[in-house]
Amino acid sequence: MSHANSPSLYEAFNARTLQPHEVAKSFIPSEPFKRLVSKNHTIVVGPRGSGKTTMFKMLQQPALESWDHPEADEYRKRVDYSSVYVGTDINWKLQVDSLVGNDFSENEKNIFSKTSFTTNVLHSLVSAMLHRLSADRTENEIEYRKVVLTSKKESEISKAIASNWCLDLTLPSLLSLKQSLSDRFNKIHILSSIEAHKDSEGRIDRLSEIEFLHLNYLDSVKYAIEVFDDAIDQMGARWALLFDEMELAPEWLKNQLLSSNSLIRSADERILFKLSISLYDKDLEFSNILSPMSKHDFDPIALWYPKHNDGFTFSNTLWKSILDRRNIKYGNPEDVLGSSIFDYSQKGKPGADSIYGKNSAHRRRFEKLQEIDESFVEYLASRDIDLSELDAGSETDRAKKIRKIIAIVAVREAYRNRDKKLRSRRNTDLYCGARTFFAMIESNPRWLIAISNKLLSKELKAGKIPESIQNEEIFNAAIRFMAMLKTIPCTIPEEDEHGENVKSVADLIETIGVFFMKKVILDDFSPEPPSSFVVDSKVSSTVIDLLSKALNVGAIIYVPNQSESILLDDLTGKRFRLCYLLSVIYKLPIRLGRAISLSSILSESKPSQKNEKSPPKVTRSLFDQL
Amino acid sequence: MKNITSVNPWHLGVLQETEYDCFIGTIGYETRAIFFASEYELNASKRIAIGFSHNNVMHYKKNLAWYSDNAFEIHTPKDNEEFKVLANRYLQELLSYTQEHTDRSVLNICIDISSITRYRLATWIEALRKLDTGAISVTVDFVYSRAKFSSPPHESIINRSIGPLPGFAGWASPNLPLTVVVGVGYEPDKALGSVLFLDPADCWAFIPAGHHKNYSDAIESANEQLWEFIDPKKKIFYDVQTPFNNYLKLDAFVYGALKTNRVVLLPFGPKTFVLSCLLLACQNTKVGVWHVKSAKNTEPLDREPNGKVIGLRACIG
Repeated sequence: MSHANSPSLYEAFNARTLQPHEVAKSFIPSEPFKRLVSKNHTIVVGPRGSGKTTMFKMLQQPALESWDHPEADEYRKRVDYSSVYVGTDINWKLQVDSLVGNDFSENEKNIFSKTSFTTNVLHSLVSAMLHRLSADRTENEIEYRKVVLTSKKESEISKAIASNWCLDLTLPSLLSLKQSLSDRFNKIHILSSIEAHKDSEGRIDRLSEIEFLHLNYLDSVKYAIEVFDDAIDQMGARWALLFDEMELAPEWLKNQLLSSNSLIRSADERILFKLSISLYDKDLEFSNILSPMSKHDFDPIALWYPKHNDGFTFSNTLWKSILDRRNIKYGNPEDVLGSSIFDYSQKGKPGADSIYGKNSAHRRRFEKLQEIDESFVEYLASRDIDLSELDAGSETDRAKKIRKIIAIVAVREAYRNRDKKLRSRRNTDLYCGARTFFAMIESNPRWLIAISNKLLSKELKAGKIPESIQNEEIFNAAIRFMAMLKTIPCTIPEEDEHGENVKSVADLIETIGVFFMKKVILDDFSPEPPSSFVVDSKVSSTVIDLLSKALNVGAIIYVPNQSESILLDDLTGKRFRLCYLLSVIYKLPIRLGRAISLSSILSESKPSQKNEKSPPKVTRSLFDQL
Repeated sequence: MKNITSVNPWHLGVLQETEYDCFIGTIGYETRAIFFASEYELNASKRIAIGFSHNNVMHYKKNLAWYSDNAFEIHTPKDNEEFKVLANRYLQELLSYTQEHTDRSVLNICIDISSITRYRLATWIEALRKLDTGAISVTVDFVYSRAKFSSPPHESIINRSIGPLPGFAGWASPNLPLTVVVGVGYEPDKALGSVLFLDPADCWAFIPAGHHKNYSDAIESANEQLWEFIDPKKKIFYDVQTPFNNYLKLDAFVYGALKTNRVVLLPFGPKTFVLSCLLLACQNTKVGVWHVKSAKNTEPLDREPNGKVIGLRACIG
């Protein structure tokens, strides 16, 4: 039975499935990657799918040596250290958590947790060492950080390391070392099982007699790299430990690396720590590790973009590489995806053929809205805006009066009817075009690759992806995302003490989305309706917990001001917006609107308020109409 | 920990041949909770029925009354922890009684899994394996009353937690890629969310077939988004009417997958598939079996029996 990868939507983009050399086949370096390779301790922060694992895998020798890119040589020079990738996942975390029963003390649980982690790290280290020794190279691989070791030296270092790590080797080789560590994984399980059947009394004494249970991963790593580097005549060489998905790491490790007494402050200069983590973990105080006083602390790298244009360059580069692989030539992303209504960089020029001219789409929208929306008419009058002269005057005037309301007018005209109700529409031209597409995928490589593959699997028309196809695939992607949000597990107290009436992550997102939709489309026209929120102190801890889950999967996006750190110690007082992918569901413009307190959103959305201020819920049947 | 030494087919004819030391029923709110016990004559020395402290709706009281009127020993643990203690204690007492009062070399138990929760099923199996039976072997007949079609839930159910069933986390090196095998059911998007939560390298779907067309349609609709994530070649259909064949099918798949992967089984859908996953995981300790815990006030759905009973027999050495 074959278990090879196949082109399902999912497998196409999960870096976890790929070996480092496979990641290298399509890797595009970015600004964050440039910073990651530096010889600093680094912490990479971003939601799921933002590219953390991909970048970490690229730091490994097998990836760098097989990477064929104009900048590859430069990066190979810069990465003059050996990277040890230590992966984890939720399954491994829960397996370790379940290893011992409830009658084990905290101390005993920690022993098993630490030994499991240590074994994983040492296994990864030996894998990295083995790759440096490997004489096998394909045609496409560059000679990069390979070393030669005689059998005698390999035997000596294997024995020395095995002795230090309390391992019995079948053969004195690094491969045997790795296999012994695989065997140790099994031994850990057997030992825990045996202990589970024994009386808890005397357990800690029994465990204290088993040496390998008390290895310290960092000391073990330091010893091994010293022995290895001495053997290859590279004394003092540097190694990087890449700890991926730190949000899944055991508490003791998080405290060790990410607390105010972080051990990296006293760590060996030979070892670099590169960590990846989700945006928010309520048990961590990131400010502790960003102290300007210590040169040993982490350089934080953000993998998300608060403003929709900020990630354009990266998205465009990745998009271009996808097209290149399909031999689709183009100059600008608009060549294939078309232009966007939400492209605020477009400037108007005088004349009938301008983007605000008599025959323009913008003019038509303004005029149609004027016909059906009294409040818009009043707004135009109050600002002295004459639609017949939309393209007249200076660009500065237009920027002040017109450009800032284009997006609002567009969604309002598309989805509001004369009776001030939501209008069902099929296939608008709103959520398509290059800028909009890139904004909606939030420069998330996983989303971009997945949706791009779907778009490009359909036939192009005159070299372009039709708007209808773009609409359909973006909408499907949004629906899939909502389906995923609905199933995120969460613990909600039986009593809703704050009266927030939010039962799940999806519920929270729906409440916020519907609120903003009402403000933009159903309420009287406003040039600046709210479309972001600040978490105020009235918000309950339950909702904060839901927000953190939404944040870590990318459903909400943190919008820090210039002085704020990208690392979140606390959500209170911070500003967020919904991810733009959800705009197609809640009919929102792609723009960062003004902020409103979250408690006021929740308060106004309570079902007990049966007045015209209660917003409608977006039901599945409404989705079906789109 | 005892091993599952064999898994065998089970059929109704076995009832007449077998003298059970104990029959274990579940007091649930489904109509079918008492079907097997009420329909068939059971030759069982002891009879126990275990209820719930919550969701005592629909036919719960009626079922409780039936078990009570038919001389079942009734227990209502207040939570899962109390259930676990009860299960372990009850089996130990049963074993002690058999050892002291009989010269039997086999302990025969029958468990009706029709209305049982996944947690409780896993707990029974764990408890059976932990029994220090000495020279006595244990044979367990797991029986299941198939249901008539009932409409799926109207809305997606709120999930409270996703994780391994107790005792079934499995254990394998994290350096191997993770393969998730999801047994799909008809609750909207539940399988999708769980798969995305696990974020595996590979995903296969086991899809129940051989039942009413309405079930197939409901499953297709509930998992519309999941199919976007699974290669059509990775969908395996199994006949709900033949649990032993399904067990063999799953066993063969897992055997192959374990050569290069870690494996987690995520069984939604029929309880016989859940049972197969648990029995398999007993024989392959690397394999994990996960479940999704829903909110307590989840909309209860009745399931009426369709008259057919299927099962599996497991021998624990």
